[in-house]
Amino acid sequence: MQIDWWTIGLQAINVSILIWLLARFFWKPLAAIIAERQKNVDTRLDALTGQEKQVAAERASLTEARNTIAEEKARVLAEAAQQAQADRAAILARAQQDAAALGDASRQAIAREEAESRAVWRQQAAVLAVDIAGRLLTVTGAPAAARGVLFSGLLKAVAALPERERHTLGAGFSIATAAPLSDAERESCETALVTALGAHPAVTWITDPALIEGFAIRTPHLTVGSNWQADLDRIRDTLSHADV
Amino acid sequence: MNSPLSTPALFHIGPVPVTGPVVTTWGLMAVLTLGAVLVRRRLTPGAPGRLQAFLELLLTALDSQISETMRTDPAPYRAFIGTLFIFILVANWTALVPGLHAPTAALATDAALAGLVFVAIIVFGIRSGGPGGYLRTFLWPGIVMVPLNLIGTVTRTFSLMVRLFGNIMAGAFIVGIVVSLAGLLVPVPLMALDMLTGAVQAYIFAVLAMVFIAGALTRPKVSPSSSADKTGSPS
Repeated sequence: MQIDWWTIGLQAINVSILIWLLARFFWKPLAAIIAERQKNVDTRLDALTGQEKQVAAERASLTEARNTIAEEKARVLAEAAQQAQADRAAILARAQQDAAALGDASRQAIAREEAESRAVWRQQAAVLAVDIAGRLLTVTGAPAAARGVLFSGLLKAVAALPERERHTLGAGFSIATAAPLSDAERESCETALVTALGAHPAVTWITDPALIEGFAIRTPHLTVGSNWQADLDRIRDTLSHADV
Repeated sequence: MNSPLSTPALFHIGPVPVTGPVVTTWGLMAVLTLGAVLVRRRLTPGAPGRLQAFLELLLTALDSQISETMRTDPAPYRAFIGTLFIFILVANWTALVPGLHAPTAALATDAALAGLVFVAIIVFGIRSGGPGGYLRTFLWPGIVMVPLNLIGTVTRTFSLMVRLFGNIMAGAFIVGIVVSLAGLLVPVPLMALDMLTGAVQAYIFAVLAMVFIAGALTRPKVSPSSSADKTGSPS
């Protein structure tokens, strides 16, 4: 056996060259392509990861915003409910006050109307009563003693007049009676009047059935009466304004 | 039939005899280089075609094999291991082409390949840990083993050569005998078996080269903490 050193050497060189050639034209380009594709994939993966993180962040932000909105909604609703409760209480209180005021006003109006009605009825009743009394007195006629009493009343009224008016009566006046008096009665009356006035006035006698019974001294500026008609008028006025 | 141990010169270039395996190797080099150049032009970082996908799968499988076997980054060893595998595979299958003989069926070619592995062990060992680091690999697991490690460095290279030569030469020899005795179609099953044998021998040669080179690499010292992590002890 003989060792072929030339062939061994040539084959070693050949394989070494082949290793270099394939390293240059095959292994490195192929590995570079794979590395580039892996880099692209990593880049896309990183981008997707970034997008995923961004989406997660946006999702968290939206969740926080939604929670904030829910809290705001709950707060606004609570405030609205509280405000509505306060408004309701205020409206109720105001309505109660208005109702009470309206009730008071109604009661006052009713009382006022009732008082007015009573006054009207009282006045009408007084007028009716006085009218009835007047008619009765007119129909039945006065007793004899009544004229003297009425004349005495006239004298008291004259005496109660102030000095100036009594002096005015001294100048003269007319005296009305419900029925004509006899001369004696007239003279007696004039005498009593002269005494009461302290003067001699000119007296004119007239008849006024409206007096029913009694006397009435009349001047242009003064009337002094003592008759039933005047009494009935006073009674009517008293009854009309009297409180029940 | 000529002796498998003899490689007659086809012609001479000056004083250098050029044998058949050398010429066949040149042809294989031309084919592989031309194929690599053509493939390189069609490489694209986008969606790969079937050929590119197959080649990328081949490269990925090679890197995975190197990583699992050598426990290191496959990039520095990819071209050497990968080219050895492809060359031996194609060279082994060359015998299937009528008129050609597998270069690996010649002892000189196998000796050259084993010699390249021997040199690569030294080069990668020194590149990994320097001359001192490489020499310290002979001390493992103890100084007593230095003679055996030195002898083993030579013998394993020799075993690489003999294993490849014996398997390929035997296959080619058997097919030659059967063809001379039985006829044209009878050795077809044996040729198919030769294809399988050629692929297996290329794989074995590449894996053993990886193992031998990995044995010459300087390993980083393992810290107690990382050792504890590997053993799964509670921290």
